[in-house]
Amino acid sequence: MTLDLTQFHDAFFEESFEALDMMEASLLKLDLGAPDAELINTIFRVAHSIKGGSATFGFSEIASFTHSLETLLDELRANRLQVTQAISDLLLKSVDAMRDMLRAVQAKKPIDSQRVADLQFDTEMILAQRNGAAAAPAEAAAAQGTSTSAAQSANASPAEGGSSTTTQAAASTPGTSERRWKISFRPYPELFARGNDPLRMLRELAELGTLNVEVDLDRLPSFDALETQNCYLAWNLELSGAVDEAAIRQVFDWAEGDCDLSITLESTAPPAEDITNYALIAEFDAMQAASGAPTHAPVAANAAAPAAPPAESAGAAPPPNALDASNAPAAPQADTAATAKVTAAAAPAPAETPARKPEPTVNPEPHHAPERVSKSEAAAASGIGDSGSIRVSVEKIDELMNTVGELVITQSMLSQLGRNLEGPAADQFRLGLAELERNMRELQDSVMRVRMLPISFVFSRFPRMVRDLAQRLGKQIELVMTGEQTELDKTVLEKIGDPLVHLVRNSIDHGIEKPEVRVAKGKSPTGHLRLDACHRGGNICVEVSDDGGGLDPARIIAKARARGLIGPNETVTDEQACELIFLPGFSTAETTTDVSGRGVGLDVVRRNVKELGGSIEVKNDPGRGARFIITLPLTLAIVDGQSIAVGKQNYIVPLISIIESLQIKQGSLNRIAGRGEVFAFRGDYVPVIRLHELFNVEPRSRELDEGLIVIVEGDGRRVGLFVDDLLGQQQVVIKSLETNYGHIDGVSGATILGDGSVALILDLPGIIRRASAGARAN
Amino acid sequence: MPRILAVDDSPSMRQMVSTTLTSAGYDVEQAADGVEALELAGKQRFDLVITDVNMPNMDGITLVRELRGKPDYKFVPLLILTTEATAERKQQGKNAGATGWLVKPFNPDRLLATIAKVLV
Repeated sequence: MTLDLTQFHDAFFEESFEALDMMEASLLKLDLGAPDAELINTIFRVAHSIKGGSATFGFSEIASFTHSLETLLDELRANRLQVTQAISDLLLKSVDAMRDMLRAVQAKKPIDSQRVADLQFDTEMILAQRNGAAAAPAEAAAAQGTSTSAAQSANASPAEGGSSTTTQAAASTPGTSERRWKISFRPYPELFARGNDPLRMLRELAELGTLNVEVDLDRLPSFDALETQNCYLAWNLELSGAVDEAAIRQVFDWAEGDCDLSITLESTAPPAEDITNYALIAEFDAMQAASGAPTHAPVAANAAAPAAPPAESAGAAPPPNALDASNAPAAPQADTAATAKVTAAAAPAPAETPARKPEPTVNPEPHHAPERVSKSEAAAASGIGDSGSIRVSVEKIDELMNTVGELVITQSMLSQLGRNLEGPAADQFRLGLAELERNMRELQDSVMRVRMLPISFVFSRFPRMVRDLAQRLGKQIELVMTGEQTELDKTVLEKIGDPLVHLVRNSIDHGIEKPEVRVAKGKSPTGHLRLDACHRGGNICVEVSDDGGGLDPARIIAKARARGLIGPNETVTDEQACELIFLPGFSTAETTTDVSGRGVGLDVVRRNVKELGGSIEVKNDPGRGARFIITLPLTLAIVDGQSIAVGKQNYIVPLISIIESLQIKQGSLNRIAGRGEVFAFRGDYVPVIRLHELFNVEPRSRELDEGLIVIVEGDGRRVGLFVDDLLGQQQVVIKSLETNYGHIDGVSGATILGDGSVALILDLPGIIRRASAGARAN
Repeated sequence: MPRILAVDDSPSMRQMVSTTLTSAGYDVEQAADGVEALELAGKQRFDLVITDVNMPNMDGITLVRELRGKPDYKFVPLLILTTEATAERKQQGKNAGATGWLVKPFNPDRLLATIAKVLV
């Protein structure tokens, strides 16, 4: 069968990247003094899976690299090697290297072989050093010589045994002349309990040649003693055909250890060839006895394998084929059993003792009991989905979201129609509509939730980043993250990463002091950095806080003056000073480092956050730390809006930016030079923006007391929007103007209302900018 | 139609085994670890189980041992498919009651040949 393996590549890459994230997270959690066994296990599994997959898909460089890594991890897992800082660093570098290799392979680009080779070399050096330390016991083991190798090979797998059998067969049976084999197959009673079926083996043998089956009922107990699940039958088989012994052994491959098996050649071939065979076999025996070298191990395996298991079970042993075969021509048939005993007696001594030896050092099933508990916790903590989830492309969800949006519109159109309906069926129709409306809301909510992802997707990069930066800057920093499971829309999530990285870098670089400085200030040498996320109303709050030096208002003001950001005589409160850091072209770092201060300032952070419809503020506690609080909408797809009417047009104002709506008297309006119309509002003068002027539409009235003023806030400033009327509040689905038309200042998007008309959604910061630009121009 | 349960924590490996077996006409169910496999095996009967060794929550060897202990799976072929080919591991598998052992890298033909052999 030909299977196109490339169809599985994507799945492999995806799972590998995910696994590497998990490996990285586990490495960062690893406590060097007392490493958690389950963490090491997780790390091992990642390397192991990637190795398996890479080998299967033919990514040989990755497979080779992960093989060394796996060997190292296996040493750690088995407690033969301690996790040191150097090893932990090496493993983290290996994670990066594997990630890059996978990316390269995915993009069908060449792998950076030199880097990989260097890392692999380091890995092997660590292993070599360890082996050097363990050289003494290894030599001791080697001193036991042949017995060790025989024992190891006695345990060799069916698979290995299978291939080695072929080697031997090729050597010992040149040509495929007609032979007759006698096979004695005596399963142990528990053969069935291994899922083995003698019938299948007999059938398979029958395919090899002419099979003569004779059942041996000797062990069949009386009916009372019969255990229905045991195998009591034994078989004496005679197989004729051009078959070599390897093929026969292969049939019984998996029954090895569950039966007594002897295979005897009833020579029908010319004697000369037989003599060659025996000579060869003898030679193999000699080699096995003399060297025990790994190259000969497979051969030894084949000879010793049948002997070892019976030795353990202490039953009647099958004669190993080699010896048996050499005895066969001389000894009469009845002698076989005797030969078997001799062989069995000979075999156990070397086989048994060393085979047991290595076992205690290897932890066969590591940490079985605690595994489940800690693992499920780890899974919950890392937020990596279990198998109860499926992967869906974002486009599909967007499509779904779009369709739901259209449905919402259709539904509100129907609702409006229904209101004006008369007649006997109208009530029922409206009832149905109400039902539809409720279901639509639920559907919309569900689809929204599909798009939500936990913020841990962004947070997960920080442990590594903080560790690396702290190490580089010689600082001690403990990172605490809470609310990682807080969910937000995928689009918001994707865009919040960079601003957060910036804030975290800032905190590490400028906020948290070096240990000696901290101690001098009476703080603990280890600085604390916190990332907290939580839901607050329809928003999500993300806070980056540290217990470092905080912001120094005096220095900020001095810097701002020097840069001309504020006038020389302008007085600035401490709070205002903190706002200054968000201005373009501001950086207080004494020296720009390669950590932060790459010319990208907090102004960019603020702009990014603003673009997401959010806000950022800073709470400063000089000398004791700073807190940056980012507030973001949960989604960019839907907004809670207030419909307003200006003339025949409807507009949507995001509810969150409305402070209040009021009617004012004509007389309370003043004209101020350079600021246009203003009116007094709670001790402050608020500029009025006449929307009909801004959008050039004919209003119902130009008299202020005939309309309404909606006080809104945007960009930290308040303005009053003069509108004709307030309509209802509703959730609207945002449709992008940019993709359908083009960008318009002061408009963030559009939506379709229930009556099918289009309403623009106002972007208040944009409107305020536009209006103040217009006012200045006047 | 023989029903096979394929257990592996790696989705790509699971998909591969499952695709191979499905295209050969078997009914295949998948599980991501021993715990999940055990649960599935409790709900329905499979004619064969093929499992990876290294998995979170419950490894393949424990799974084989647990399955062998169930009356329904006493005689069902339980195969282990893994990259780990050390003699001790195999002996552990054998002791747990595994019918046979297949070593990765994954080879579709060998898998099918082996399964055909066991599922007579």
